[in-house]
Amino acid sequence: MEQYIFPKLTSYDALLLLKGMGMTITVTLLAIAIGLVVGFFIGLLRSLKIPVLSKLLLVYIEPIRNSPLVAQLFFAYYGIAMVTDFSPSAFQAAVWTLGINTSAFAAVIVYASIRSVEKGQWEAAYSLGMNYWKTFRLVIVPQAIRVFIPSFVGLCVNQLQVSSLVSLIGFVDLTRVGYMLTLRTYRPFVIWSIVAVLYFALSFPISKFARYAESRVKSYGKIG
Amino acid sequence: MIQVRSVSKSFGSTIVLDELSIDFDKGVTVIMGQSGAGKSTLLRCINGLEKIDGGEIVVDGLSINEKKNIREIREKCSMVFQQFNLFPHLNALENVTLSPIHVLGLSKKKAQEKAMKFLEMVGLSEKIKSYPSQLSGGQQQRVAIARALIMEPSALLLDEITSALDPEMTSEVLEVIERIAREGTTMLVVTHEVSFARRVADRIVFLENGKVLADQKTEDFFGSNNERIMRFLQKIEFK
Repeated sequence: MEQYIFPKLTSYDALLLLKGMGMTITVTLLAIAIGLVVGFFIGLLRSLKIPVLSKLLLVYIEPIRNSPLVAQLFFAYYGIAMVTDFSPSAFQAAVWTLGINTSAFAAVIVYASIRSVEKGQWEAAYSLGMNYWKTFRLVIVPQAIRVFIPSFVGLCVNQLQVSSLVSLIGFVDLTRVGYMLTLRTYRPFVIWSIVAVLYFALSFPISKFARYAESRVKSYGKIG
Repeated sequence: MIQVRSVSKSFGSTIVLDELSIDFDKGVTVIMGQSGAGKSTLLRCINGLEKIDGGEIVVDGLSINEKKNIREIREKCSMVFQQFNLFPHLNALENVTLSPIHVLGLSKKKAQEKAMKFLEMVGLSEKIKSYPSQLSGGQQQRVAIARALIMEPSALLLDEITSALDPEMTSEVLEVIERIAREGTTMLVVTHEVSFARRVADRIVFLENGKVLADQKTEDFFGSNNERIMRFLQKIEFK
């Protein structure tokens, strides 16, 4: 009787947890990749300060940053299928929604990083005959990246945590596995402890890296 | 060599250059005037860092109003800034070699050899591996001068290059400039250093309210009995 109420976790359950963890990593990594590429271009375009375009980019960035990811996920997974012929799988909806969500935040970081480099740096490079792209690549990026990395790593940690929301559209990530095991075993204390520890194991090294990257930024010029 | 023809420039409702016309030829021209007279703006317009509202600037036959000329004009007129603007992620040598490699297309080795020559000229051959953050203000400014000289410009534009430096460093930078001037480099110098101007300038241009108030040989300028020039000189000499 006791065994029925408190069944031990089987090796199958452990496998399931690992599988969920793998899916969490997959979704997060793909989303970060999308977010980095899209966010880079949007942030870069914004830094060009082209009047109308800048406003349009804000129309992309701000609604995404200022609405809950859950609403975005439901919109992508349930909403789009209702009005178009395309009905995304839970995986597609999860990756793209989290990716586009990441891109909006990444765009702001990219923009702020570029703007953090003093105007005089552009002017010095221009006055030496460099064009926009050479200046950007050789002078601006190497300086902006030091501002970018710690913030972006912080964003990655955050997106890893909020990726747990993709469980709400039925995608089987680590959190979803947690639900499933809880329902079957009725041992939420144990299960959610394990789930939390697994998230921590993914997240903590990244946070550590962020702090390391930050310390490198501050020791500017004394690296080489 | 540089022709400025009725150039106008405003920032908002403030007129900074008011249909200003002037020619610059070989030699050292010092541009003086109260702050806000348009001295720095004039240099920045010649370098294409500020877009002019009207008129034309022609450098070695290239009009700045044609967008495709701007980069070439900048190669011909290297600028040194008040705030040095060295690239902080590159050491002194890399700061100087960056544009020869990426603009002039020199090999790294050639660029470094050339850079060594100019770093020696500004007295910094010992500091080539130092990053800007490891150099004093005066040393940084001298690297910036070497960085501008290596482009072998037809004119060097110096925009208040000692204003951010304390007196000791000011003199080390001005000594370098004097040496370069004696080698016959054409320079447009915005400065408040009167004694330096007296020693180095062939010609002094005095701006007021975005116009040329005086344009004279150095000895004539300092012997001028123009009331406004006398008042200006008194004010900065007793500063």
